[in-house]
Amino acid sequence: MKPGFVQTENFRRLKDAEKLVARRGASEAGLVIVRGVFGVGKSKLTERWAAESGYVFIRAKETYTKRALLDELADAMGLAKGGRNIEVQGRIIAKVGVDMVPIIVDEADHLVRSTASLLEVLRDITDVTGCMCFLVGMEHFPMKVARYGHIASRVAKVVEFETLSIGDIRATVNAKASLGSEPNAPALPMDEDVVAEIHKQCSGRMRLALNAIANIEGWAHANGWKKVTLADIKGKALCTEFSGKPLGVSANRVK
Amino acid sequence: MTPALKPVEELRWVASAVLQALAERGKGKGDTFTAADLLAWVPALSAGAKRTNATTRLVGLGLLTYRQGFDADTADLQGTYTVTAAGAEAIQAAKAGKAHKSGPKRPHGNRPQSASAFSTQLWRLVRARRLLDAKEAAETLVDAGDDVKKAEQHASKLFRRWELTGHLAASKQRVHRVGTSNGHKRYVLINDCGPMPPQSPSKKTA
Repeated sequence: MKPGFVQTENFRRLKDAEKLVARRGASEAGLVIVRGVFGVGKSKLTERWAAESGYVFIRAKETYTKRALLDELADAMGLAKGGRNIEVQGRIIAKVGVDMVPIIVDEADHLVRSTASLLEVLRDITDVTGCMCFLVGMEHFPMKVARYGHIASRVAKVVEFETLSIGDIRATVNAKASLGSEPNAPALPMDEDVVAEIHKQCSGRMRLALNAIANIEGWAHANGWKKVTLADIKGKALCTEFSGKPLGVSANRVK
Repeated sequence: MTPALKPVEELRWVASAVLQALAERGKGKGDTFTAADLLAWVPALSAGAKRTNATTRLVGLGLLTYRQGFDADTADLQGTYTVTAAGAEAIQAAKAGKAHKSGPKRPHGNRPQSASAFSTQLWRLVRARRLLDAKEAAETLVDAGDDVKKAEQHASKLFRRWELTGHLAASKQRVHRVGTSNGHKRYVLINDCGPMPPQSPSKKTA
């Protein structure tokens, strides 16, 4: 498979949302929620975006306390972590207020537990500075935030990371499928039916689509295929299959 | 022998002209003079603000010191310039015919890094991931179809450099081993120096 990043529709959606929120009316509504199911490439897209843009990037963790969140933000901005919470937060607000560099928090689900105290810490920063904060979470994250009306009202936009479209799969196949991993390895063309089959079997998830392409490349290499047609892969599982008897269900109930 | 002073219209390097005039009069460390003395020695300095420019520059460089005084007879303010030790050396150099030139006095440091440079983007990714190898970095930062291999080599080079400066540590486990390839070293961030990538020690100043 050829190496490299594929700019999917989700990546473009993320960049469009950023432009849209930058022109928002209420400056205190600086929170942007990015949600998506697993395997669509949320983290990879976010990392690329953060590296390109130079935004402050942190990855929330299950063990986070308010202090840990402030410490990590201070670290990411190159600020001193000494002093009380209010002092560290003051330094962060001053830095964000001057630079106006947005903050990206990956795995933001960890910010909402029985209370939203960690989200409140971020809300304080965005309220005072009017800076954007992108919260990247799983599909149910917006519902968790919606429990807290005063925070939900500050969400400027919810960006939906959709499962990959057939166009994304086609772009990925064209960019990556090859007979070898070298950059100059010959491309491995695939019929439109094959692309559709990959899209169907991977359920629109990038992680599975890449596995499917790698599997097809392996078969093409072994069988000397120069082009892949639907007949070549008919009946084959392109991605990992989870089959068999569900756990905790007795044999006579499984039909 | 001190070179002769140029006529008014050609006198461009005014600070140098003052040093030459002081050299001609055998001035050394601790000797004093006034602005009026200077204008008498170098009449060309009376044009525009050349005298002020020259003395301000020499005071700024630490070759002269200035002290505001008061003339009791005329009730005028009268400043006095004193030649410093560095000034005495500069006068000796002027005497030997060495012109005092503007410009950098020591080697340049490293060039400032661009925010969109590959090294800056790679450093941001290292800070986000904490643990990274060159292949994964190149695959994230460079689009498929572009020169990913070259980016991978560049990333490897930068990782090695940052390891030498003590910001990264190489993991014992190598990754992406395929066939006869040894794979790639994984690097762990151990010293986060902030949002901009670490500067390698400049060859000129090292």
